[in-house]
Amino acid sequence: MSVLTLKNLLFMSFAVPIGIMAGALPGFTATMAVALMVPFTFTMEPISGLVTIGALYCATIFGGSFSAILLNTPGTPSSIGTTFDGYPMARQGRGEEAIYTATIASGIGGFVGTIILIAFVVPLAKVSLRFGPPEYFWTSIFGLTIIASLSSQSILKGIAGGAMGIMISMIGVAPVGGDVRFNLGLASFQGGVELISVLIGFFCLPEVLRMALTPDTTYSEVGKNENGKSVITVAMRNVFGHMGNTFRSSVIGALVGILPGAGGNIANLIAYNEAKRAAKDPETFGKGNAQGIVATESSNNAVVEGAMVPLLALGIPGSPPAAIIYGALLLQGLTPGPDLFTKGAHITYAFMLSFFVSNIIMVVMGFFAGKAIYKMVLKIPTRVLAPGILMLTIVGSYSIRGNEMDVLVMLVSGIAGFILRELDFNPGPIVLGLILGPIAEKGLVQGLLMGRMVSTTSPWIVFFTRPICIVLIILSLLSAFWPFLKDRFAKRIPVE
Amino acid sequence: MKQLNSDLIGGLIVTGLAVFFHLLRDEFTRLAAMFPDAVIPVVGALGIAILVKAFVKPQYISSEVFRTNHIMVLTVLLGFAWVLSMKRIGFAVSGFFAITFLLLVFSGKFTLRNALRCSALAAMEIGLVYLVFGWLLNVSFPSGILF
Repeated sequence: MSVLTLKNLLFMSFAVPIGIMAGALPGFTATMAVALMVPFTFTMEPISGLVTIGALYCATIFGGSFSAILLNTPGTPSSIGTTFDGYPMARQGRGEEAIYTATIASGIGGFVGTIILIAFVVPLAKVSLRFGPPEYFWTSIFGLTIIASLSSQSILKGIAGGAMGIMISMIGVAPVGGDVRFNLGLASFQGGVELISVLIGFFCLPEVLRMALTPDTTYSEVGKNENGKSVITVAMRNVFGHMGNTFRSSVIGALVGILPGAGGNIANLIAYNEAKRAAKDPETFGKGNAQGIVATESSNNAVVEGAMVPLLALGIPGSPPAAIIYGALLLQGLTPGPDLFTKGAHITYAFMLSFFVSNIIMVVMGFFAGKAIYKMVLKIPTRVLAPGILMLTIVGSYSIRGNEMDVLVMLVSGIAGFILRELDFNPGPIVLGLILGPIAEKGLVQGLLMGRMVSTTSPWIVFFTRPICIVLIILSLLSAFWPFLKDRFAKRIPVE
Repeated sequence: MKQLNSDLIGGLIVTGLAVFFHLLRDEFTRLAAMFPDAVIPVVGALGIAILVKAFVKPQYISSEVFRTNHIMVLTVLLGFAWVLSMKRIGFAVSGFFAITFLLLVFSGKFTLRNALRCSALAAMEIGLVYLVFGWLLNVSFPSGILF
């Protein structure tokens, strides 16, 4: 009941719209939003401070869906997959349906994530501790097998795109060894290529360039809402009528969130892949299938609660926002780890339960904000919208690190993204390679170093003998060969 | 209509990128070189595979997809001009001029009245950016010699 005080509800109601706005702005990450909110919570009581930060974190991840759907720009990396079907839906005149679907799916994802957090916090945290470098290597390989379904038009180009993404991810300081690599002698590249700049460039700038071809149209000409009043009902049917997809994606999100280093950027793509794989109409994915949005949005919001598992139970912040919440807990006089469930149990459980309330507030505000923002975007003519989007891309990529090189990277990525898309290279695999490359490299090199302890002649054996590795290898093989297996099963059915 | 072999262009880009990274390959330590040594040849091989496909089973796209107009070119140029001048002139002033020009270019009407309207809109947009990013979200923009 300590969560449901008027004061706490007001704090959460204040944090949620700020979070939605921050998430919707390209380049403004959940980490930045949470970091900016922490100073305001210093003077609050511990429960009030923590529930405010928790609400903000949830809302920021959800907010990323707005720009993903309306502008084809993932507001946060957790919404990459939402662009695949969200933007086509908006172009087909189903933008409002897409936003409502994202809102409800995010709320359900948050609910499932919170249940998993409360019920399994301690045992799941112990499992996550058994993940070493070889397991992370195979996790990244499993993630890369998604490429096949992301690039259904040309698998060869999809694989090449993924490999190019991995290669670009090698720019900067090596995760193991510490050498500065491929930075062309530029100090700005020592920290690597900024992922969010590339995301903004790949997904957003090509749209601005396409708008430049037809500046006299309005967004509403291609995006008029045709479903009228029943749109909320349709959105509810999208989520509740496919509970298998919603639930599976939420569980994927929570489980990926538990793994330190993995987050919404990976979870939403895995959930999208699984939704497509399980669907009866996989060919409609990427062309405006609402189930794509359900998968990505329920998974990325479940990641928020999943990330709290290692933080609260073990004191291990598995993601940058979790690291900031770690600091916020310390500032409130709480030491993350087992003590939270003994000495500070009432605060910890109040914090965990507050995610239920945050998600309800988020859904309610999402409905209002969604309608308002959608109507606003519809009214803006292309000749005004396109320069506005370009401005947002420049401001967004600059605000990440205050580095003009990030903006140049964004512009170059945008031009490259435009050309590559015309050549049938899907940007999804390239971005996936960019995200998973550093995880794969760290896992591979550290795993081989580990393996030398076991066998100096065959250090790679460590990648094939650990139980979790074997499970991940099987999952990776199934995932990679699923399109062929599915074809084989499909051919058998008519014969029978 | 003229057709372009998308596999040929794509294959050249992928192979070229692999060669570029190979040329940048420096004297890295063993641990730092392990991953690049595995990835770069794979990218090169994939590029060659796409090139082979370009001759065996090519995929063609209409050359129309690469159509550009002056608005597209100016959008890119103004984007670069804004970024390169923001530190020297200042984010707000360079942004104001870039957005005003972009709005003018997109509207296609180069009249005084439209120029005034576009500059007012640009000033409003830049003000909004300062309000949201600068004041509310604490992002500091370069002020340069002007602002």
